[in-house]
Amino acid sequence: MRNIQRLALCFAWVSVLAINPLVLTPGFGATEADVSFAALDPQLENNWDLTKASHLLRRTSFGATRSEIQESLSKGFQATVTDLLTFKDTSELEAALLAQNYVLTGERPNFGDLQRWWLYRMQYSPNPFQEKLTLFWHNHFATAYSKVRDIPALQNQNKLFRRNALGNFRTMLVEVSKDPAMILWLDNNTNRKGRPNENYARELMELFTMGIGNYSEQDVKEAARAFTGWQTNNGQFIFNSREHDNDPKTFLGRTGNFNGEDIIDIILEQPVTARFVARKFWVFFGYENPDPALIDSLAEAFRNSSYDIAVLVRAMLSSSEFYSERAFLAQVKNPVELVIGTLRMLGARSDHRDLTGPLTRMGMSLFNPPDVSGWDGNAAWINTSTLMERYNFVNRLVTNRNAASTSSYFDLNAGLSSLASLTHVGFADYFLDLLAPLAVPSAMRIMILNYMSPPPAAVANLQESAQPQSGNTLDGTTLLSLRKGLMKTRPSPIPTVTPVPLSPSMIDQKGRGALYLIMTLPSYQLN
Amino acid sequence: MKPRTRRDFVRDSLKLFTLGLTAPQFLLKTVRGESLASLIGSNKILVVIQLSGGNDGVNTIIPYGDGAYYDARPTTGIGIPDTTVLKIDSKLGFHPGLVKLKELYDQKKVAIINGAGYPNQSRSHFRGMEIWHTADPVNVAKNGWLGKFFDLTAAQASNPLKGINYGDQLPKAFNCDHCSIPAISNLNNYQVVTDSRFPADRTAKLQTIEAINSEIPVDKPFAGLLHSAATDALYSSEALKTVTQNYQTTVQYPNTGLANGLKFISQVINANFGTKVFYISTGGYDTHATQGGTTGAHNTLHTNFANAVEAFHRDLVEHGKSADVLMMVFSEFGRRVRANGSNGTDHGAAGPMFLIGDAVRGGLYEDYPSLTDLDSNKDLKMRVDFRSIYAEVLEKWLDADSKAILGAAYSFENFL
Repeated sequence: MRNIQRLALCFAWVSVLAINPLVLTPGFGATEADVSFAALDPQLENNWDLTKASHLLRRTSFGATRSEIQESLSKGFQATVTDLLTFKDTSELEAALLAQNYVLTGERPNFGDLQRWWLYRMQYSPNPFQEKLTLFWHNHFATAYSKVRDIPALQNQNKLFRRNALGNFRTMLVEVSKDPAMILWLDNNTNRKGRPNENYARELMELFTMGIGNYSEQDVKEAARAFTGWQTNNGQFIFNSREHDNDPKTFLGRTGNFNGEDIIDIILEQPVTARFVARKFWVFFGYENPDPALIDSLAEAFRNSSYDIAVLVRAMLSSSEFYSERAFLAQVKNPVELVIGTLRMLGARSDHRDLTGPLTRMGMSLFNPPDVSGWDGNAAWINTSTLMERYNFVNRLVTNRNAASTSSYFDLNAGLSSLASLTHVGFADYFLDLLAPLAVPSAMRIMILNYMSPPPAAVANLQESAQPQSGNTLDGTTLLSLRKGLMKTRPSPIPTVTPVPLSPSMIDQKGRGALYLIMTLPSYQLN
Repeated sequence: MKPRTRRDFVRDSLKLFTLGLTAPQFLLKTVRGESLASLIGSNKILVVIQLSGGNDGVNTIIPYGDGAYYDARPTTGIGIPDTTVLKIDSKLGFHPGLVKLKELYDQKKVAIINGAGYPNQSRSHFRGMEIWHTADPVNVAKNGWLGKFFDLTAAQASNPLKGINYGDQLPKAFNCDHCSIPAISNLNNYQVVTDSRFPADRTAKLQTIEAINSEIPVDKPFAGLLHSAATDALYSSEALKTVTQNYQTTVQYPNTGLANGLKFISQVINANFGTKVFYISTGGYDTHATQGGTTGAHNTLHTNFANAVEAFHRDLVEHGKSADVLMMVFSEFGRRVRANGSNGTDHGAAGPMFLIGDAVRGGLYEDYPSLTDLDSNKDLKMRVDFRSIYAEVLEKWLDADSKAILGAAYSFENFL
């Protein structure tokens, strides 16, 4: 084997070894600052590794880039969590948005531009976790353009979620109750004294704070009365006292001349509220159907902090269960995690115009969830049509060879230019490590390698059976034999693979093909 | 043309099993002793045609024999003169644009259900359509009536093409726990696209995807779903590619969206993939302004609809499929009796439904809603709950347990 080839092989392995935590992470003694961590698990600090770091960063961001993972491994678990919860200044991001024309201009702003504005932030914000949390709140307080039809109002609502992402939940609830987009969405402009509209009061309790079974229909009616007169005018909240019902209400066992803020306070007195919100967080960031005892402990921390969201999130990210085997790859990537995550990890650029349509067809139209309960996630992202959309997005990205195009583009050759020659093993392992570190079963890796460089016996079979039988039209019988042919040509996995050098033209064909296949792997579609 | 027998169908479908179904899945689901026929199901196909926007029923099936019609709708406005109405009897007739539908009606292939609706009818497009999709006027239900049908039926359970929506947006009618219905608007989009620079490499890529998703188990909650969706996607998209190839017809379909969609549906029916339910929507029915009368916007909608449906039916006849296909046509609400100030109509309540096909007992069902004895919103009172129509289609056409799907028993109109 030539030295250059050895070097190429080493490149792949060294890049994995270099981030071995045993080499890099110093020990961390407990300090006073640690006392503020809820449910701190010292084991996590001592066992901080590639699997856990990439898992945490995937869940709190959109993809986890190699440099982010390396930074996390060098500073350790505690510092990673602390830094995730500490948002850096975003004035450069805001300036870049303006400079790149990601703004809503004119009297009739374009809905696609609103979506692009947020996609840009997801890709380039110095605080991707802040954007991820904003997405969580957008899903929690799901409000849709299809009915609201007011783009500045939706953008302001988005900014409200970002501003309060790790703030106080009571503040969030009050601001949301006064938010013009929310008022339009849940018809609170028509909630008037003497003729209440129950829509907001109901969803506030059912979907935003407590869940069905924790209040009565009478409570909904009384709460609606308390929110009468909470209206919008010219895009701003106004309290219309003429329309406000000023009489006593009885709500969840309390009686008084309540207004909306009082209703919120009473809701926050109920033990179920902290559990409901904690569970929403765990299902979004962790996994479905969590153990109630786990949720109870998170809820207690949340409640005891007077609903400080940062405390809840820190408790969640500090729990050893968050890093359990059950949590790893337990989710399906939502469409923006797939799309923006891929762009971030490959260092791709995009004007995001080519993404809004595909994201919608994948089932996630930002600012336009299907209804007030938001996106169900996980299984809901996957059917034959959406899965092909996901695959086809990957295909477009890996086959866009036009550096001048503004559509999503990444420079494959730039990443590999430091290597004079490259083998198929080196290429595949480099991207497997970059995109799905330690997540891909070895049999799948072998199949990717066999695609790139088919073992000799398989090649003849492939050529023979890939052609339809000549003379027949392609009916069911022929398709059957096509499929049988495909099954027959699958080579059985070979235990060791001899690295084969890739020429530039083979990189263009098989390299891009392998990269495509890696990103269609279940391990990559999962989070 | 000799009608196809059940045996013909079973023989043809054996190709479908080993082709269109994911073999590992199907084998897992086969229960010892369950008959092959019950797993295929019957050859009856439902085509749901949704008229989106709230079709004005009063100017669709016109009560021209009732003076109150012309009181409410003078012919100087949107009223249809009785000389142009396509008469059914001395009281009712079709809008003149529905010539081709009247032809089918005269062949006794159209059942007109007058006054279909539900209590406290919603006048919201979003909520109204959701109610028709979920068959639940009271709660915001998660699953659709057709989704529940697929969840509960063993027939074609493993077939990735057991239901097809023509159009990008899957209607809530197909929401379900276990089924996965493709939304296809363009066969070019419904496929796994590979690097166009290296077409010869495509098979190797698809082969790798298939192998990865059928041979290597991954013990994670959603890995199985990804695997089956991947193989279903490969097989269904490759299968659908053949749909247009063997298909020939003498029928000239009009060049409209609805007609193109129905033509696609006809092609898929002819390919015998075992699809049981097709769904297609056509819009533009929200005629708040300048609705027109004998001519104009609504007339264009009617003409396009009737011409598309008639061409589709003729195509089915030509291919010997017309006995197997039932069309069901509905809209989320009818419109108000009186026109508004813009020579259009606003959202109303009850409206007509159509059932169309060889198997239908053609004719009028239910009395026409009264134009004068109106509900508290001054809209047409319903004559029959739409779930009665759903129930009859589910029981008699789709061999399904309508009580389990709809949550209650409903009496039938007996249009089948």
